[in-house]
This record gives sequence, structure tokens and C-alpha cells, in this order.
Amino acid sequence: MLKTSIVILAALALNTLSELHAEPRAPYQAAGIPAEVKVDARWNFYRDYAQATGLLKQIAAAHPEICRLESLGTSYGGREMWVLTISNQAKGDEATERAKPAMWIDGGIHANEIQAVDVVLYTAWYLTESYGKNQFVTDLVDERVFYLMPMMSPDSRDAHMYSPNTTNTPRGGQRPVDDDRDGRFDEDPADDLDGDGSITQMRKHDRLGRWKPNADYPQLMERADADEPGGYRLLGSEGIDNDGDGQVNEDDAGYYDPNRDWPWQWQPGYVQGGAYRYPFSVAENRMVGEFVMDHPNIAGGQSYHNTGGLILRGPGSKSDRWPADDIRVFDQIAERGVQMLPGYRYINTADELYEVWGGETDWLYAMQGIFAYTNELNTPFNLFRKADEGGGFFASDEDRKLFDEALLLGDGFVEWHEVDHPQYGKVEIGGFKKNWGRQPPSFLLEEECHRNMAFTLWHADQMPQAEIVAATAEKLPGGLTQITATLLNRKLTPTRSTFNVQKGLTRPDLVSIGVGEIAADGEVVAALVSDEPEFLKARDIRQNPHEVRIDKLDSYTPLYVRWLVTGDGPWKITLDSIKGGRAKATATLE
Amino acid sequence: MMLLCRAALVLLFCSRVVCADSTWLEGYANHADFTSELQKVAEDDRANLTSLGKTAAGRDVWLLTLGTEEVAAKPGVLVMGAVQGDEIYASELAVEMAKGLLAKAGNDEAVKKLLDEVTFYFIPRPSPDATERLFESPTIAGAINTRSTDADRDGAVDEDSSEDLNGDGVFSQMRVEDPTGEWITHPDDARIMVRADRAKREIGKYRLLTEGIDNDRDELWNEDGPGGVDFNKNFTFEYPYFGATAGPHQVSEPESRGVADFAFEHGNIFLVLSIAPQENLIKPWAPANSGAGRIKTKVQKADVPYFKLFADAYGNRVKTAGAPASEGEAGSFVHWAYFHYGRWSIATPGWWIPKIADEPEKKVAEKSGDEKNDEKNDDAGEAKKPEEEKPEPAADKKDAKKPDARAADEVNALAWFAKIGRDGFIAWQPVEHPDFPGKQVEVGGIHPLARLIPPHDELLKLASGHVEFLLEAASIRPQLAITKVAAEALGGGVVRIEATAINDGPLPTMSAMGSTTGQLQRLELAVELPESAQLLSGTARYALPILKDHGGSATKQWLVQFSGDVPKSLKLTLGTPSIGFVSEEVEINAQN
Repeated sequence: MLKTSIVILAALALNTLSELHAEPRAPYQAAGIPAEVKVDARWNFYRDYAQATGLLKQIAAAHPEICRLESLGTSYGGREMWVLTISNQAKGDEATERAKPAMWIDGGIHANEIQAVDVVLYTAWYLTESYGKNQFVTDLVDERVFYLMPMMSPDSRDAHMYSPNTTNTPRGGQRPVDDDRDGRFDEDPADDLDGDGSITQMRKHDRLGRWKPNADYPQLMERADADEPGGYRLLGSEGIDNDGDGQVNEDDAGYYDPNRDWPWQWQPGYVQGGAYRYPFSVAENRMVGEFVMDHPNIAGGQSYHNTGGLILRGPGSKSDRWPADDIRVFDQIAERGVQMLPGYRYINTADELYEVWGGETDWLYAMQGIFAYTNELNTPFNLFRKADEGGGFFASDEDRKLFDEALLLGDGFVEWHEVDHPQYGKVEIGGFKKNWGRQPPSFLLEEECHRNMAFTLWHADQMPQAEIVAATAEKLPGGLTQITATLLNRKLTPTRSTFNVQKGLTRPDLVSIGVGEIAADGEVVAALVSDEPEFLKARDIRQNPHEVRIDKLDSYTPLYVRWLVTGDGPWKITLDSIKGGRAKATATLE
Repeated sequence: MMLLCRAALVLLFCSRVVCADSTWLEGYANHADFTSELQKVAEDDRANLTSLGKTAAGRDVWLLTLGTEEVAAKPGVLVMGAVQGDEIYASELAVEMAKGLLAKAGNDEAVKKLLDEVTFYFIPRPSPDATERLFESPTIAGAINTRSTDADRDGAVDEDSSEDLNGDGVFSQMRVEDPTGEWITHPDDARIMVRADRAKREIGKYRLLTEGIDNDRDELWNEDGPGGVDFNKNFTFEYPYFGATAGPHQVSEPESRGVADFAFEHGNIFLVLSIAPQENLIKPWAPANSGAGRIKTKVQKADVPYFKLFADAYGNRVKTAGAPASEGEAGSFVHWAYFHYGRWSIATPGWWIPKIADEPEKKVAEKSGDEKNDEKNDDAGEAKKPEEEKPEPAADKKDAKKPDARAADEVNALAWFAKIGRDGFIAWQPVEHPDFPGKQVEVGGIHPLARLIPPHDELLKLASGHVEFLLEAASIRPQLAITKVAAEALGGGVVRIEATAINDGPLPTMSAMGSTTGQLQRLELAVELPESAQLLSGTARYALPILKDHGGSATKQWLVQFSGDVPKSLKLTLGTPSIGFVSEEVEINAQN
């Protein structure tokens, strides 16, 4: 007792002493944030394309040993398609980088879903700033590769921010499309009548109108009951009939949906609204597709969207069925995600959301063998930390308005005000601003970024890792030596999905023995593979016994490979898995 | 070490190198010559040659446009040659059709008028890298381009090519004597291999493989040679995912992208005529249960009569007897053009081996005799051996008078070779094979080009009928008119206008599938109004529904108020790019 007190006193004395001498000391640090950062970044605002580009360049410049920033090409509007590669080998040997399991993370393919980009930027910043400080992150960056594409649709990101829009627009890209098939392209967009950058609603005082103000939130309009007067007519979203066809805002910029443009289960626009001409007819997607096809080491994928608080897995179409073994892997990884992301639900797209043909993450899984999720960011749960009773993807208008009044202090709503309309005369316009709907407000953004990043890092950690946990050599009577390698993958993801094995998306894992390199006279007489160490039900490998092809290493399921060889060793054994990394071991006679 | 030995063996086999048998391709143009030929055609005032882009090997995908003045503003017909890249005759037939069209336009007023009304787009060789492979030596069959692929999805690319084991300059077939084999020689013609029929108590005697070595030792022979992707399996309709020649994904190749983008950017195209094995001009797409599902995979019932209309026109111009059955739809261009591009899509192989044997038993026997003689001349004495070993199961002998229906196409092909004097069969010839030590292995079979390509002069004979058909097909289109036009001044500057749009042509203004796909621009009836006019009712530009053929119509009204003087007349315009536009000046009847 006495002893402890003395120690404490001594410590206090030391502190006082150092204060006096003004020596440098570690600041008190909130848990979870990287200390002494090289790139000082705030996470309570949304970066436009130029700001995001600036941040990426800053990160890459500050951490050249683990970063490589490259552009896959330029978008339709001439913006760079940035990919930031994070790995401790990025600057060195690219072959080594490609031998490591990689995680693909992208955001903002639907550009109006803007926080998706910031989650990826935050991930880039957090990984680079935590490397060498946080052990978990350091291991990840050492052993795995991260390919980060924050802005899948950079043109439309700037369009959302700097052109009049709602929180829902623009979802697609900026190539002109004749949505109404009248031979004119994008000729009737929404019009920002009051010039505030947000497209809100139009209403008009009319004694005979059928709309009335909400009793609790008079700025919100609702339908009047059949037997009561309304007082207003609603005239739709802010705009005019630009092309004189009697319809307002029917042919806006775009529209094609870049997330209906991927080859797996692709269907044309009449089946899947928003599909463009054919898979990868959106050039930005083709660049990404080619990058992913060129990096078969990608084993995990994450695409960020909004809204609703969902971790989504495929398949997207009901006629598509994926092997149960693979679904189990999705389930196991997401189970922890649901804990990490309060208010989020983990569901299947086709059966529990809506059908999607030609979605990106389905392609990643079904044609590239990548376990990939789509997260719908922004859960209505976050407003008042209670489950949304309607179970919708947005909070109710009432909750959003209450939040606006109570917490945003009115910053999320355009008050109704009068403007002159060329077709309707005097109208009032007002409603939720484009930045208060699908995206968190400033003070919830950092939390959204961090929680989602943490889930994705957990997923990255659970990518396969092929190991040779034992390699033994034993002399047999008759001059042969028996080499046995025990292979293991201590992660939730198998080295190849069952679907990958069925369809041959990537080649089998190779287990080779280096006979001849070291022992010049050595030869492989036979090779066997077994699920159990006794080799009671072994498979005889007849083709290329020195290079055994195995379907996959399942999660925590050992596999045994045995060679009968001549010569003296030592024998170098290599395990080479496209998505599970590489491992080496040497077997020597005792 | 083992590999080295095998390589040496291959070299040994290839030491007797014979050039690819050029007779098959006599008269046919390789890419360079084909380009020159197209350039020559393009010297005509009505013709224009442009490139849709370059293939992986750097060849241009040529587009030959025939038409006058504003070609893109007129309804268009797209003619596709060699949709299956190795059908080189189809690319030349397409050019012959273009040449025929131009020639006729010079001396036939009706054709001259048609070329003023309709634009013809020819993409005669959409997959030039695939077509050019025909000119390679040794000769190999297949419609694939040069992209390196992992055809057997084993992780290695182009690792098991064919080998010319007998050094004859051709990759043909290989039969291996093996009691586990499933093949026997054809009971009526020992040159042809057929599967043993267990029901007839036939016992398999051979394995039948393609000529070459199992380079990657996976017990599959030549399953992943150099290249490639088949243009005609690379489209989005019923795409054959993971298919050996389907490519990494739909529309993955520069040539398929070039063609698809061209098509999408040309809203004026209403008809696509393909020279392709997915024919529907001989056996038109039949009524089928369209299915209530969201994804349409069968021809729409409403469209069936019009496919028949095109087929009847084809049958009137071209002899269609003996045509082969239409080929599969998976990833095909022809199906894409209807189901996804939403255009009328018609197709014919253009050429096929005519049916020779009326009395098959007799003729086949005769032909076999002829061929045997040929073989003797060619391969002194060697070719006889396999025939001596021809198995004659007892069950077969019993009804030997009945011709065996198996491999009927090959039997017919051999009869046709005999008739035209084509040396289309490579006699089975024993070779030493490293994969089958001690076993009898023979190389031979029908020459890969012999059934694929007609003699060039025979092809030229096909041109005139196809030109006639093309002219007729281009005339099968909607004919728009504005009728029953009335504009009545009601007083106070108010005018009521009424007009009926009518389609007097043999085709509806859009196919049912075209309407479903939403790929075509809408049919529009529009009134041109001066600034001083205000519409009281109606919209300046009405979207019209599909107008059926032979009199389908729609009537629209406008109520307009003019603030100044009421004009004497107003202009109405009806049309859409895939049909063309017609205008009518309507006089406003003054108020009494």
C-alpha cells in the first residue's frame, strides 16, 4: 500500500518536472484516432473532386513507402479515376504486391450518395496514418494490399455539389441520354428557380387544392382528408417545362445507372432500368473492370452506397443462386459488421431489397471470385438512436424535420418562399435541402466513416491467408523420402469461393516442391493429397506431381500434401494461391 | 525434360511442312486485299468507307455506307457479313451485294430512288482478326479472334494448341484405336466417324480427337490454342457466361464494341440483315410462348407475321432447299439485334452445301468409290488401311439396305465434294503419337475449310438473288402519311387543328420487341407554331403509339390561339428517324 503511493508520488513529481522543463510529451489522445498525423484532415465536411484529389495527393506524398496514387484514365468529363494502392510493397516490387491478397474498396458510383466517397477517403487516411503505430493496421498493410477508388463517378459528384439537385440526384453519369426517346437529349432538366443550388418542391396557394400543412411541422405538406379543405396544390419538383411537351423535368442530365452496367446477369434497360448499352459501356466502369481483372489477387470487395443502413450481399436477381458454402462466408463476416454498425441490417439484395441485374458487387463475386459487399450508408437509426418504425431507407419526413429543427437548428430545410414561375405564375418553393436526406450531417459523418471502415478492415483481415504450418521429411525404406506439408488458412474466407472452383474463375492453388533446384538428382515419384494427416483416403496426383493443384483452402480446414521423392533435400515447398497469398517452407531430414 | 522431348517430337512432325492448301481460299481476299476492294467500291459517289475502330491486331473494322446526301437522316438497313468470323464467303457476299446495289442504281430508276430514300450500311467483315486466321498456316477451323484466353479455365492461357502431326498444313482430326473409345467408322462410309450406338450393339473402337498433342497433360487435346473470342458469342442476349470462346464478358472486344456503338448511335436503322448461321429467313421465327416473364427470350407473337413476310420475300429470290438448321442464340449478334437492339433482325447463311443424295444408299456408295480413288492418287496406298478395319457389327448388316442416318451432313458433304471435284477429305494416315505410345493413331477427316467455304465462282452466283432480296427487304417498311387534315379558325384567333397519321406500309411503325426495348425513338406528330401562338389544348409534339401496317392510324388535335394575325397555314410533321419524316402544310380555313 505504502509502496504504491510512493510510486504515484514519484510519477507526479516527474510530470511536474517535465512540465517545468517544457520537454515534448505525447498529447492526450482520444482512443481510435491516429496520433501525430502527417496529413491533418477534418472529417465533418464533404470534399468535392478537387479537394478529394488534393487529399489523395497529400496522403500519397506523405506516405510514399506504402502508397501509390495512379489514375485509371479520365472520366467523360475529364476527371481522373484515382486509385490509391496501400501496401508496404507498393513502392517496391509490384510482383510481391500482386502475391498478396487484396481488398478493393470503392465509393460514389452513385454520385449523389456522397458520403460513400468520404468513407473511402477516411479509410485511406486512417490506414496510412496508423501504419507503424497501430499493430492491427500495420499487419494489414504489411500482409495485404488495399486498392481504394474513392470516386467511381467523379463528374456527377461535382454535378451534385455545384449544379441544382436534390439529395437523390444525379445518380447516374453525365453522358447525355434521350430518356423520353423524343430525339432530344437532356432537354428538360430540373430548374433551380431560386438559385440556391437545391431542387426543392413547388406549391401554390389554392383554396381548392388538396394539400395542407402538417399539424406538427407546418412546413411539411400532406394530403388533406377527403372531407376537409386543403389550401395548397403541389406542383412537383422545382422546374419548368423547358421543351414545351407538357411535361416538367422529364429529361434530366443522364440517365444511365453505372451500377447496372456490370457483366454478371446484365439485362438491358427494359428489364433493368438504367442499364446503358451493354456491360462496361460506361467507360469509367470499364477502366475499373479492367483493373480488377488485371488484379486477380483481389479477394475482398466493398462498395459504398447510401441509404438505409444495410450490408448487402448478392445475388441481385432472383433467378441467380449462389452456393450455400459461399453464402455462409458472407454471413460470417457480416455478422460482426452488424454489431459494429448499429442500426444496420444485413440482407440479400434480390430477396429482401429489390432485384438488381448487372450490379458491381455481383460481378466481383460471380465473375472475379471476390467476396464483396455493398453497404448502404446512413441509417435512420442515427437520428434519435432508435429503430425507424417504418423500416424504411430514410427517416420519416417528420423525424427529419424534427432533427432539422432540434439539431441542425434549421440548416437542413429551405423555408417556403415565393418566386415567379413562367408557366404557373406566382408559386412558393421550399423543402429539404439536397444535403439533408441521404447523407449524415457534419457531426455524424466521422462516425459513419469510422464504423464502416472498421467493418471493411475486419473483412480485409478475414481475406484468405494460405499458410504452410508444417513441413516434414521422413526417410522410407527403399531409398525414398516422404515429404509432408500441412496447409492451413486461418481466416473466414476460403482461398477460392465454391463458385470460383465450379466455374474456374481463377486457377487452382498450387503446392509445389522444389526438387531439382537444390537436390540435382532428386525426382518426384508421386504426390498425394489428403484431408486428414493419416492419408487414409488420399488422392493420387498424376499430372505434374511436383506442382499439385488444389481447389481451395477452406476456412480453418487443414489440407495435407505428401510427396514421395528421391534425393537428399532440403526440399523447398511453395504454396501459391492467387487470392490467398504465398507461403514457403523447407523440409529437411532430421 | 519430358517437355523438351515433346517439343522435339513436335518439331519432327512439322519438318514435313506443307503450305496451307490455298485452293480453298482461291478468289477470297485477305484483309489487305479486302480493304483495297472496299476502297475501290467506295470510289462510287454514293459510297463512303469509314472505320469503326481497330481490332486487337490493328485491323480496321470497315463500314461501307451507301446512300445520298444526309445519310443519317434516312431510314437505314444494316447488312452484316461474316458474323461468324470464319465464314469468309459471307463477307464477300456482303460486298457483292453492295456492288450489285450500286450497279443497279446506275441503270434502274426504282433502285436509284430507293438509294435516295434508304441508307445501306454494310459491315462486311466485323471480326477481321478471326477471318484472317483462315489464311494462317497450318489451317485451323474456328471463328475466334487473337485475344489470348484461358479457353479451358485452368489458369493458363493458350497453353494447349494443335499440332500438325502429319505435316500436311492442316489441323484436322485424329482417331486413336482404343477399346474404351466411343467412336466407330460410319457403316456406309468408312471415312466418316460416328458414335457407336449401344442400342444397336455397336462397340466403340476409336477415340476421336483433334489433331495435336496434349501439351499441358490434362487429358484434353488442343483445348486451349492461340486466341480467342468469337464475335458471334460476345453479345448480350443469353450470353454464354464462361463459354470457351465467349470472351471475358459481353461486348468485350474492340470489334464487338465498335459495331454495337455504331448501331446504338444510328437511330435511323430499322432493319438488320445478317449473313450468319442464326438464320430466320428460311425457317422464320415461329410463334412461341413469349412467356409472361420480364425477360423476353422468344419472338413476340405480334412480330411473327412480319418475320414471315421477310422470309417469303427471301424464298422468292433465293433457292432455300437443303438449308441447314439455324444455330444457337447464346451471345449471337442476330438475336441481340432483335431482342436487345430492338430492330427487325433477319438472317441467312447465304450459302450452304446443297443436298446431293436423293437416293442416299446408292449415291453414297458411288461417291465413296470416287473419293477412294482420289485418296489413292493422293496418298499412295496409305489411306486404305483404316477402311479395311471397318467394323461391321452384326446388327448393322441385317438392315444394311437402309442408309445410316448418322452424320448425314458429312455424308452429304462428301457427296458434294465428289460432285464438284473438291478434294475435301484428308485420308486417315497413321502417325506416331507421343501421348499414345504403341497405339494406332491416324490423322485425317474432312478438311476444316472444305465445308466452310464455297468455290468463289459459286459464291458470285449467289449475289444477284441476294441483291434482289435486299432491295425488296428495304422496301418492306412503314409508309407514313398525314391524312384527314383540317384546321378551322373558330374566331378570336382560336384555331382547331386535327390530323390523322397513317401507316400504309407492310410493316408496323415499330416491332413489339422494339417497343419493349425502348431503343427506338418515338414516332411523333408535331405542329410548327409561330411565337405568337399559344396552345390551349394539346402538345406541340405528340408521341404516337405503334401504327399497324396497312392502314394503322392515330388522330390528334390541337387548339391554338394566335395573338396576332392567324397564319394562312401551318406545317405538320410526322415521323421518326427509323422510318423517315413526312410533312403536310395545312391551310387554315378562314372563319365565315
